[in-house]
Amino acid sequence: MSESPTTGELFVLYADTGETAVRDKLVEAHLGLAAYLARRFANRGQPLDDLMQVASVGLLKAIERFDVTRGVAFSTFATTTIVGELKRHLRDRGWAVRAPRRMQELYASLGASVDILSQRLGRSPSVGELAQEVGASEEEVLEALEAGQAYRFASLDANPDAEQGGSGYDRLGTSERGYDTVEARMAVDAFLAKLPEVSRKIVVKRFFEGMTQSEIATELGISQMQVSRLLSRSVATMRAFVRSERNPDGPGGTGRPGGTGIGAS
Amino acid sequence: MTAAGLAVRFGFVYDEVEDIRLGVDEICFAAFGDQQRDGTVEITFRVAPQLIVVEGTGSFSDSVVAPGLNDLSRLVLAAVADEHDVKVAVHHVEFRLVKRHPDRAASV
Repeated sequence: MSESPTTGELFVLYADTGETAVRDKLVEAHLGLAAYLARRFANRGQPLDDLMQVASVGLLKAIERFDVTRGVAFSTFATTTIVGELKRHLRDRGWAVRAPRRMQELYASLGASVDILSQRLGRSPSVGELAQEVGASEEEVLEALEAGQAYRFASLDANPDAEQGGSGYDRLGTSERGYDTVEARMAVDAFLAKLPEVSRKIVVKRFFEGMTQSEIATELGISQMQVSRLLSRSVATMRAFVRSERNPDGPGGTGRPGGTGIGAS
Repeated sequence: MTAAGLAVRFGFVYDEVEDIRLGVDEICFAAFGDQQRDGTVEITFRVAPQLIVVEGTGSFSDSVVAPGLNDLSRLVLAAVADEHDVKVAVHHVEFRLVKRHPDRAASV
């Protein structure tokens, strides 16, 4: 009875023959490593089963790319490949609606550019200025900003960056409730209480205190685009609260007539 | 997106474009709700160097009544737009939103 071939022997055999059966043996022998790495990325909002699949894809890629003649242990090479695959998966899934990669990258660069230009110009930049800064057309900038509304970024109430210590909210400083008791504000206040702390502060500053998004960004020490996203999401969340309050038994969406209104300021 | 694109052409800055996007989103929700409707919607954009006006009308054959304005939408619209107006009936809705360029006085 012959001994089982080593990993190195299997790779030599796979390189020579390209047999699926040999590749399957390599996969089987290293699935434990893929599972271990997948579990390391659990608790980041993605189901473990999905991560297992992604890690398995990473393992397959590693097997296909591995060169046994380079003298590197396969486990070392595979770990790098699988972790890269997992990170890419998590980064892509950060978008609630999948935006084209070009738009995602443009949106990411716009975040920094808005802040840099705001500081440089002492005012909110125009879209033309932003386009020039990032080397894109105005249409592309607008499209990227629109796509950015679909970005599901880490909660500032979570602890996204342990190196900086404390949660994102801790870095924002203390909160103040500067809004008064106007009737409409009181009505909205009930919904405000259901928002995360950072979102609540942004809503209060924008809608109650009349600060601009760039002013809020500066005051809270976050990017203007984060303010924009949180503001949009907060309005949508409060809108859902309003609807569920109006129609607590219904599926939502229909609602009674809200009346007509004319407002001006 | 159209309103934002037009605003860009007329020199509105990032903050104002964001306001316009938020305002159009809010007023469209108030006027039309978020359900699929049977009917026709017509939206008109009027732009001048001093302001942008977004007006819409909808005629529907269904009996869905749109949410209309509530405390939240009034608060949002008052903050992001200079004027807003929503009229909601069973088969017909109208809305109007005006955003002025802060540095250029004008009226429509």
